[in-house]
Amino acid sequence: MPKRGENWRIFVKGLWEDNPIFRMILGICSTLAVTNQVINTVAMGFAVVFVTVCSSFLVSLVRNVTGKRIRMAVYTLIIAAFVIMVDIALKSFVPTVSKAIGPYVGLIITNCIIMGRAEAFASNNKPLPSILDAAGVSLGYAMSLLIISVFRELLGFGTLAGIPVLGPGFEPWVIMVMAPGAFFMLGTYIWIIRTVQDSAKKRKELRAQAA
Amino acid sequence: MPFNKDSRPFMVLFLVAASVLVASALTALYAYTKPVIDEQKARLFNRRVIEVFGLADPEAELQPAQVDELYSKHVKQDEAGGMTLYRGYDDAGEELGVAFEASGSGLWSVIKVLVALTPDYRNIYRLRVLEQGETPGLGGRIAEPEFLQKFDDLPLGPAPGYVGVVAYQAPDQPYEVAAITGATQTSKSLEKLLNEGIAAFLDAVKGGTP
Repeated sequence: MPKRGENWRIFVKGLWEDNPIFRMILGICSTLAVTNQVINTVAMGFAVVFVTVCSSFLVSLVRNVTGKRIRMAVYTLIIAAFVIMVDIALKSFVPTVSKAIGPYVGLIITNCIIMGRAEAFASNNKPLPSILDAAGVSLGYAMSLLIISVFRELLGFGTLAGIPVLGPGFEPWVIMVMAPGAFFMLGTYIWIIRTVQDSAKKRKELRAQAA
Repeated sequence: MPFNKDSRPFMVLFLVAASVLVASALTALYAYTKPVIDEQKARLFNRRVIEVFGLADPEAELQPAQVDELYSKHVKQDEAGGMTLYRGYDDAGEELGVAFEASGSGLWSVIKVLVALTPDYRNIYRLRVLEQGETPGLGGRIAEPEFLQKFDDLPLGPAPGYVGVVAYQAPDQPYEVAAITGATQTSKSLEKLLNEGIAAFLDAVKGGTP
């Protein structure tokens, strides 16, 4: 039976230690595709968090009655159902956002983070830890996307969430809103975070040695 | 017999039951939200029609009721030669122009626009983009007012090149506008679909009305 601290650890792991973007390098397609504007990225982040948490919860609930050979089909069914719900919800409540990220919403089904969490964690853990695990990983994903999109929109359009920030004198770096800009930004982001993580780890080890 | 989740009959049953359950839940949700979504789509279209007649600022926030009111007050739907036309009238009841849809493929996506011509069909009154999925920041700028306003009151050139969107050089004819730098393909696609759309429209109205 996992304790309180254990659950917290499961949640935080996905945010930093096992972050899908800069540690596992999963879900990269959507990262590259939707991060040129902050608003779209926020919508995408919410959508992925919702789908991951709900599907992990449901997968965990049915884990004891799901046959081994049909488990993938069941995961896909569950994930697809939640994705379609998100798509319909976006269409009916925020049509402008739906328009902007429309095709990518459907592609959440193929986001390996969600299937990965279902298979690696939810399929053999109780519902509560599964929810926390899914929340941690998907929030880690959303956080990474948000950071990347802030830089891309700022440099590529000179705006943040559509509000001009850098003033009319700023010449937008058009490449930042195009696909290559996404690769550059993502590469730089992973590089910086990993350097920080490694040096933090080294310091920890040194401290352990000294003690 | 003890319960075995990996037995073939149970797996089949489970998968079928799960599919039916999920499918019915989604169908119910879809049926429930469809009217809302359809209404929003229709209203967005009507809003573009109002904009193409200059009756609303594209940037302005309009309440759904305002859109409906402006549309019913200023726009009359018409048909000619199988084409749906939208006739716009100002406050005095004077005809502002006639609008129709034109579409064609852009660089990445289908581009749908709403073209309004003046009542004598000699000028473009205004142009609005209904749908496009071009590169954001480049081709996507065809939907921005800064670009679209170049088409305001643009005279039509001789058939079949009613409109010219020219790249690499400055426009030198009254019916030409400058393409978007870095989005030549999208600009050229727009030119093509405009010319085809205008040709189809002129055919429709001249064939339909003696």
